[in-house]
Amino acid sequence: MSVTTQWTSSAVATPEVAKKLSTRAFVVGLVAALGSAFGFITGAENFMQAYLVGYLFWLCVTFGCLGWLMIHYIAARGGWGLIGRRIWEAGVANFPLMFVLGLPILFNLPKLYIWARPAAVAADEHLRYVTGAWLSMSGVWGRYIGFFAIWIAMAFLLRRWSAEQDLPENEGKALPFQWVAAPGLVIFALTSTFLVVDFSMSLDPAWASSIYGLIFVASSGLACMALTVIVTATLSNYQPMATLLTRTTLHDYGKWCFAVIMLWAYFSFSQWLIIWAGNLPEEIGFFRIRLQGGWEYASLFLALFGWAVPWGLLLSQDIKKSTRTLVPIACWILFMRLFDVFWYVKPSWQASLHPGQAHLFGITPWDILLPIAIGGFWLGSFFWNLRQRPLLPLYAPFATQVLEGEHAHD
Amino acid sequence: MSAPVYGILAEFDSPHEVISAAKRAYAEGYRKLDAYSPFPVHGLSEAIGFHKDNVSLAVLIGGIIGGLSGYGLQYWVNIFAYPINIAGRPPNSWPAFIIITFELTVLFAGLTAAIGMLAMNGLPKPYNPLFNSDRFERASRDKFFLCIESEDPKYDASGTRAFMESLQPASVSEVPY
Repeated sequence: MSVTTQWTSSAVATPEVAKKLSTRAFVVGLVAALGSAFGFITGAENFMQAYLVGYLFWLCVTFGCLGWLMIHYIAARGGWGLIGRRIWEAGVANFPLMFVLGLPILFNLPKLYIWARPAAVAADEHLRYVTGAWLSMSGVWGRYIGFFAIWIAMAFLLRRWSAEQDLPENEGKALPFQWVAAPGLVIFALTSTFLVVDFSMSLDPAWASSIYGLIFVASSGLACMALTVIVTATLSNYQPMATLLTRTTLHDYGKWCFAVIMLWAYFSFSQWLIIWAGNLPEEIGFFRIRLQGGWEYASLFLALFGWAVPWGLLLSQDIKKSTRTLVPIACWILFMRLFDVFWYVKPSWQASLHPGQAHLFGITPWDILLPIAIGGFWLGSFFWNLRQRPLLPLYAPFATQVLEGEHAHD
Repeated sequence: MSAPVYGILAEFDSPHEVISAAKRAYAEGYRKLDAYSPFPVHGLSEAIGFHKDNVSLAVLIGGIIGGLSGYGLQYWVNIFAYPINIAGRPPNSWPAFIIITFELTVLFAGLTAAIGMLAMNGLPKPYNPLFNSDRFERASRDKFFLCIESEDPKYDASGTRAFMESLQPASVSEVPY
């Protein structure tokens, strides 16, 4: 090929700016956490509901990083997969953080879930049945610890082998990534489904949807891909990302956003269509509470601005190829993923804890502050992790090809 | 004058050479040129001045027509042609119509993409004079070709041939019709 540049590990090092972004994110997170602490004193139930929304959203982003990282090792070793690798690695290294951040939920289960209130369980035969079979305290704790152990172990192995590809003596050495990634994807789909069943679907213990986990998996993939667009575009103002992020790669990330938005819409619509067509009393309640009291506008907003508008914009090739247009859309997608989690959590929480009341759409200050607080810590830790390693494993297969691309900026 | 000529064909050994040759030919002012390679060469289509075509616009229009006809068909059947009470729902029950609407959108868009691509490519092409060159069959094996067609306004038999030779190809030949 053309002139082969001699790349050194210092040339692919993560830029200094990651440190600055990390500090800034931690400061924002701390300020938002202190501001929202007031909410825990004045109304712990509302606070915990907002905390659950913020936590689940950032857990989705972490899930997405694990999913894309494993897909990279199985199906996309070069190109967009290799350029995203270090970003997703920095994301999966946040699993221990997410484990700690989830503990407040487990210590406050009765504030969130009707099945964790012994008086309510004693009075309801169906609740006695589900808490006996699945939603027991020990079951929820056990699954939480077990699943996080699995995710942390997979993240640890993938990150450790990946670090070996920073060293010249390992060039061409076969590393067993796919032995974790291939079974890992199946394990990950199952474990993440069970976790959102425990944390989100169980808010309404009488209701069940078999596609619920897949909707969250699609949402995770979308949230992470949007974050990937934002992070790569931000870092492309500096070397080495300025060279790494070509228009082709940006276009690939844009295409993924487009495809996964469609996947999320497809799953969500399937859930709606099947329940709407069946019209059974034990299922339709989920949509009835979301189609009254102001929630109908939230549902319409989700369909129009979560799917139709960003999807319609992403149809255009030019929009997907320029950071100027793709980054704002990615930010919007990320916001709508948060709104989607809010839409899943809040109405069910309202209806199950306060049956017989009118459940109006409403946003508390904690609904805004807590996702920012958790996000601050998540991003602070993320950029800190990112700074620990070069942005590209220089001795990974296809690394030279990736370094010889054209420029992304126009 | 001899027999009519389709163009001048130059043969190259590597993708890198054919890209730089194509760039120089384009810079020289040649527009009716085409490149041939055994596998997709990144950057080659840009080098021969590949422009954005209207296939994507045709696909968009095809998709919209498909979606409208899918919904329209169901609307017509359920409102006018054969209204029937299904579980007490209103005749125009849009959620039930979405699947067919989606499928017809995809079908029409897909067909428009395939047909539009063929039409704008000028395919199918049962006779291509390039195969008159005995070297050209290696375009599907290990050689890279650049052809400047005689339709090009800048084309003249000796000048274009001299230009092609200045690119230092492995061979230059005239392709007869």
